Amino acid sequence: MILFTARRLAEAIAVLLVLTFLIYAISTIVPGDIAQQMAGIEGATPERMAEMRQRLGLDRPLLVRYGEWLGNAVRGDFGHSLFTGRNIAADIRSQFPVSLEVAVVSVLLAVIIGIPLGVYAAVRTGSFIDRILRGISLLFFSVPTFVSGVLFVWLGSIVLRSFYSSFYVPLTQDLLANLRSILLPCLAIALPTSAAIIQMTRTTMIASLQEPFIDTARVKGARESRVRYIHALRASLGPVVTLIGLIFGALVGGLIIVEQIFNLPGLGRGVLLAIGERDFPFVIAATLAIAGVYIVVNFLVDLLYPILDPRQREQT
Amino acid sequence: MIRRSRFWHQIRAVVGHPSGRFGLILIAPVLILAVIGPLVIPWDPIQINPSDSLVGPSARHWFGTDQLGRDLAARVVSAIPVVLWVPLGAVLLAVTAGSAVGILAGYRRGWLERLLMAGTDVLLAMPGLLTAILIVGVFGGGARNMILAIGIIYLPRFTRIARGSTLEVRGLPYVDAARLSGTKPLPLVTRHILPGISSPLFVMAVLSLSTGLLVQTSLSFLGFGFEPPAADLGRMLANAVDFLVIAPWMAISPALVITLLILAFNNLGDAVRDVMDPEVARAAGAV
Repeated sequence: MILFTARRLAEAIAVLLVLTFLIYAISTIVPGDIAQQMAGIEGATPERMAEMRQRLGLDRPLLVRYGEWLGNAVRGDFGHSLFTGRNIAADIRSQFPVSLEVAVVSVLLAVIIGIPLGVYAAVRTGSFIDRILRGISLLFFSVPTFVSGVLFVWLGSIVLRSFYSSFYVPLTQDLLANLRSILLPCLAIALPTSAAIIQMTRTTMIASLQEPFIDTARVKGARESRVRYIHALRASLGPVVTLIGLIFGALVGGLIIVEQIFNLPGLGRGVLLAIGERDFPFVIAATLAIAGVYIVVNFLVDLLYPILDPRQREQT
Repeated sequence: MIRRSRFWHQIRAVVGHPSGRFGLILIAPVLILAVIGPLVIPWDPIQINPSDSLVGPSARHWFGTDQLGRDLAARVVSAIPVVLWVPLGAVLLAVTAGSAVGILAGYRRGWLERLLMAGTDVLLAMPGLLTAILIVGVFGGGARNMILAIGIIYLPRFTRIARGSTLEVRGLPYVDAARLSGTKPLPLVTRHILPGISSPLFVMAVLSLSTGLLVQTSLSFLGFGFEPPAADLGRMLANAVDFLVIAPWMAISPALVITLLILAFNNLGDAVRDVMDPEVARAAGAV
């Protein structure tokens, strides 16, 4: 187990190193480099460009510069934004909690909607409600986040006008005001996501309800509700948790889109703005943060799997 | 002869599959609209017409007009072909390059395999849409770069399938026999290994179409798609957000067409997977 963790950790670090190096390398070969931008279009005489390059350190070899960036990054110093001039690490520290909150609330909503409905559909297979749920989840599964996002913006500006507030309020400041500003964006992500969870829960739940250990539990006198919601559900959660881990990948995309639509000051919108401004120091730092979290979540999912499903334990 | 009849048999099975039929029924009106739309809609998709701005759906303008008075029906119809071509091109790119890399890794083994699979892992470690945004954001939008970006993020899944299947197939007696009888590596791969691994690759390719379309429209929505004034479904929807209260119809037609296409591709993908290869597609995590 420790060996497994150490190996995954080493892999993750290697991946992040390659990733940041790639973006670093690309940022130096793109048309219209930073020195030219900083020198201004008219004032970009060869002498001025050379001077600018020297001042920014662009005249030194790529690997040396990357090494220097890495040395600073390890100490938590990502330099200053080329666009706003602000400290990048500080900006990311203020944007990260917004995205994290939206992500966590979205997944929670999706799980709260998805797992009970999936269990219900599995217990009443073939019923009217089951068929309705299948149809709805099939449809919702295909609704892109930006479509559900636009739908919820519309709802927020017409139907839920008194509830929705388009100004983001941090959680630490005012719980209710915070909820008013993030509930609709979170629902926009949670609705398509819960469709996938409904389908997966239904499938695995039907499978585990037919397993021998369910009969064993019944024979041993466990109540039917206990058999269903404790024994069978627990055995079904493994694939669902894996799915939630996979969903997190799509969630990063969803966050970028939803933060853009709803004007939330999160990391997704931050990275989008930075790409638009070719603010590469910020892009690299933000990508590192996002990919880092992504890798950690996938790792946690792998760890959770054997805890949730006892059948997986012997194999690992 | 035998292979062709098997192919037709599978096509018929996909059409006969409930999801397959549903997918085709959904996609048919969109394709029909794309083909006959330009013939029957008298409006130019990029012609600005200020006197007709923000007009609701009517007999004159089926889907209404946008803030510049452009006919939305004409714009949606002209955007359908590109929204189909980009995912198709991206998936073709990913299948070709991904299989080549995967077969090479699985066939050669050793340090080359480790290097190629490490590269695959780096790509897999990145959230797909973010990678695509980075690529298109740095190198610019347009059809070619979007195909490139989506192709790159879909490469790893084909590399993995191709490598896994190659590892399975290369140990089979018929491949050994071909190698021992002096078949050179390239013909060995194209004639003996490729046919053995083509069906899982095909299944994954069809499953990737819907998400490819999703990524393409997401990129457009975020402003990295085709250059305006060309009509682009994602951008049209993003543009509609500012007019949601006074002109909700601006959002409806692009949102509906995008959702319909994704729903159709999802159903077709499910049918193809069920018919051709239930195991492999699921194992590779086609989500």
